[in-house]
Amino acid sequence: MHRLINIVIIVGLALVGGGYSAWYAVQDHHGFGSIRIGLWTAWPLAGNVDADPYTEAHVAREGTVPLGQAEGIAFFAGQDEAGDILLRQCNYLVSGRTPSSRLWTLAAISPSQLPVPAIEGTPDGAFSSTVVRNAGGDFELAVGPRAAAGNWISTSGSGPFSLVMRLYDTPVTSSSGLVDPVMPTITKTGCLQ
Amino acid sequence: MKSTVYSIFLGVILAGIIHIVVVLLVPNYAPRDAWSKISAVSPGWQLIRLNSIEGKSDLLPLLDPKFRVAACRFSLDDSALRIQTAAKLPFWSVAVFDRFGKNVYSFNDRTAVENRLDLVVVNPVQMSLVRQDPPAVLDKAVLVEADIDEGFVVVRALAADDTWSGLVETFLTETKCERFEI
Repeated sequence: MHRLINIVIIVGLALVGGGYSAWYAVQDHHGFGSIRIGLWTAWPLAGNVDADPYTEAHVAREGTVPLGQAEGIAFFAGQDEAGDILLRQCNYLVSGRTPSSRLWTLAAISPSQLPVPAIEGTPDGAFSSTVVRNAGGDFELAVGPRAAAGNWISTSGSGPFSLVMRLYDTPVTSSSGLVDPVMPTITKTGCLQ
Repeated sequence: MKSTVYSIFLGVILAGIIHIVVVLLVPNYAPRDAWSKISAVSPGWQLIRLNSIEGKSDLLPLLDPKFRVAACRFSLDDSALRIQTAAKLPFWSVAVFDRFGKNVYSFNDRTAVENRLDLVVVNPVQMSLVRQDPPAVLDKAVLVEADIDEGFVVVRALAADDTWSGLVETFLTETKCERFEI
């Protein structure tokens, strides 16, 4: 009887502990090989031959085709400056500068990694060449359901989302490392009741 | 009591081993990885669209909505791969992935000869043949040696807004993904 209990303990711990921890580890991107600039995190080795096993498993599970080194890099942000998670029913101001790149795009994605739908007929994303900047080269971009003059990405519905900023043809991914480590700030300006 | 502590210890060690094995095996058995999804809709040697067309959802997650993305499956067993187009576009980028979704090579229009997409992917055996007798058509092509059997190429074409549609559609429809005999 005692022996049976011991076998149950060993097998149970091994299968449940090993299986669950592996599932948890590949479920989401974790810290391995990431670079952080302010609120933004990127995984430059995702999809790369030099990627660690966790990043590799995560990419395979998600079925994504990450940007290659000569293509660009994707930065993700899920929180604002106050540390609160980004919500579709709230308005945010994304402001500042980006690392140098030939072009960049900004879009909102849901936790299931699908595009967050924009309000019908309003902008669902931003593209560097059409973003209005001030004299110093900085930009201010509104994100949220409330219509804004100038740069605006509209979001509809409610619930959490993330912002993805993709920099194309940028030295950030080159071997010279972080050349220009600046990314915009994200500040909440209010929420729909 | 002593044997229970020993059992817990052994269980934790085994859990660690199972954790490592599962993580390492995921890329080989992921049923929804990029290769499986592309294989499900394409027999290979043709450029298929990955992003949504007419309200359907994207074939793969996390594609940039400001881009139109296409992919072509290939196998280097019998021939090399050549992917090329005469059309031009302000920005495009190409990535070559192996069967497990690992990026073996990438480049963009700036790093291509005359900003034209003309890529030839060969395996090491084909590369040695190319070295002996370089085909003239390869003069302006980007030649990449990849030690892989099967894989897929992803072409990303910038389409910042609807005014770009014509240009981008021409670019993608004129891009040919073909066998290249060496």
